[in-house]
Amino acid sequence: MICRITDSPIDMDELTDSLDSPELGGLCTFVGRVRNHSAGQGVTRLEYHAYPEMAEKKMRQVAEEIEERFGVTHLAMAHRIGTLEIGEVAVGIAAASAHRDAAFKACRYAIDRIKQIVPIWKKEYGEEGMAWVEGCAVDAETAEPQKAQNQRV
Amino acid sequence: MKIRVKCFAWAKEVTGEDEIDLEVPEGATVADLRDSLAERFPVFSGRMESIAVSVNQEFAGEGTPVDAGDELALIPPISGGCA
Repeated sequence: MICRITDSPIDMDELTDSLDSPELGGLCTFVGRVRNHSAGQGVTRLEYHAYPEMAEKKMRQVAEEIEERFGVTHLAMAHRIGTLEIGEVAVGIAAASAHRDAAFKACRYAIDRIKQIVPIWKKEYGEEGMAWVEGCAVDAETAEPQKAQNQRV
Repeated sequence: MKIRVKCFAWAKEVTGEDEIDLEVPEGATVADLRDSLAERFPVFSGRMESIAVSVNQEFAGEGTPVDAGDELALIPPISGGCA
């Protein structure tokens, strides 16, 4: 199991190779790359910041939730921090299971959940200057996301 | 007592610090941390609802005790991943 915050480029082959096992017939990956536009504005680069220790802990929580929900235990997740240019990989996820259905579900759940509870922040640089993208405020009482906002400050 | 609080993203930008020291009463909770924060940095007052507090790397409700030895942090709305 890989749950990693890194300032180095993400190697998807490393993530998938870590799930190489004869009983795992379904392997699903998600690659999140830096996009050149956001909310109708051009984006030239992104900066990702993290609270690394808590982020890796919360990624492990996501992995536990995936095991409970889908029975999938073969996961690899890596999120990059630092300055990224357009097209670079910001987040990579690989999920493997005996059959495809659970692998698809695990992969989808992982990326959605990372965006909700893993303390990583994104600052956009573009035509309109720079802004923090605030996707998801966490309700501390429940440790669950409030309504998604996607506002820029 | 004095507590030390990590600041990330927007919170780091507006405080200008990676970590800030706040004064709270003995037996303080997250709610006291917020009061002390708003007093020292009024910019937080308007958007306290969107800022989560973590205690020892877990999201913490208002009644959670905070101690000088705890690892405390301000967590603005997060935006990891890639849409």
